[in-house]
Amino acid sequence: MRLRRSRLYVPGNNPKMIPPAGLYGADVISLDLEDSVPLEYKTDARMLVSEALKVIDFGPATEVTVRINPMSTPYGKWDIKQIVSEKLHGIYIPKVESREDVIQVDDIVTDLEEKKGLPIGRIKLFATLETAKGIINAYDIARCSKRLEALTIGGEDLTADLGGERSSTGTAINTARSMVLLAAKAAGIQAIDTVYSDFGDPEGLRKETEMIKTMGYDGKACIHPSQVEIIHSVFDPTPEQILYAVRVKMAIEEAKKKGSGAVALGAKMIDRPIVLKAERVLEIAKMADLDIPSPEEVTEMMQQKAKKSGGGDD
Amino acid sequence: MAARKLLREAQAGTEEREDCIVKLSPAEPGTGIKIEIVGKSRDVFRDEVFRIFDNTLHGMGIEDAIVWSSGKSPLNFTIVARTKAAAIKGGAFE
Repeated sequence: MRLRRSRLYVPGNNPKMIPPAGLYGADVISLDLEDSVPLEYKTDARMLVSEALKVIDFGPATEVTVRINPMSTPYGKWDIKQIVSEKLHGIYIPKVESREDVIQVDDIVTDLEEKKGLPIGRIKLFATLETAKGIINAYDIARCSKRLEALTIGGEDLTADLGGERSSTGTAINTARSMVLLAAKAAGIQAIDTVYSDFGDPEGLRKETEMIKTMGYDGKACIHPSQVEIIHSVFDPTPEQILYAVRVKMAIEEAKKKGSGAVALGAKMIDRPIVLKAERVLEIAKMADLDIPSPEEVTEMMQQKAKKSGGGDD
Repeated sequence: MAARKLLREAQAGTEEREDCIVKLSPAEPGTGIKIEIVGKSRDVFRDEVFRIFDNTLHGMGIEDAIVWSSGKSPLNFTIVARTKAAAIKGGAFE
């Protein structure tokens, strides 16, 4: 599974914004053919994104995706036909309400991959749930396709469908956030949160990102490059968390050597949830190219710490 | 590539920076691709831009068309995209 801390929307009909989209460090870029493109420009945007996918190098670390138009419109199928290509990594499907909405796209993409000589199954799918019906069907949707790698939420549309109001506390959509998260994790896929629309409010973005990260979300969509670094700073493990994770792994290795089933770190017993968390921290740190100290470096750090404090291990 | 004909006038693109407007009009068989470009890039990159229009339209099977374009430093892929979009909207694939 890829690192998808940040997903940057790029308006698909804006030729000035598309070429530099890979420079802002977002893990995912979504060239948008849906909400940012007025009806009279749908063909223009589709062809612009299609041509961009042929010639623009967004960088090796960037996952290049396109948000197509809903499959309930004629544009959805035309979008897929134009964008399925070698450089496309994934397709975000908006307004998903049932497994059929995803399967339909899966079938079309499979057919195009075959016709264009692309590896079958390489292009991934992401389902955006934006209605009450979609949220209720989240688990069924999450399990419906091997291509499906994440569920995402469309906060604005969902709030409107619920008859609620968007707020800084996210009250209107927090139940849906939990349901989408549960469905995604139960199906073994990622959960990516909706955008924080006010890109002039970095603190508000940070608070909301911290909240959804604490819940278990894997990433967050964003609408402005300035939001990418804030989102990453929340999702990236801290040096202290990385250090602890390495120490947990070292403790496990030590226990194995001794033939012991019980793993201790200092005076604390390490149980399975802690081990899983440590593995996850190190996985993210590795994918995010963060510094991971070696066991030797950790041993030295702990010895230095013990000398300074004059005490034992924690 | 199958021969295609424009059925109606159509345009694509905007007047924003790094974009261009491409307007295609049907032309009688034998006219060829007649191109008029307005804007700052007309003289500096004239030959390159003419070649892009020519190649794009011929690549779509369109042999006869009147092309009018106005742009603000569009990259090549933008010119290609706007030309293709205008051709599609002009009925070339109907």
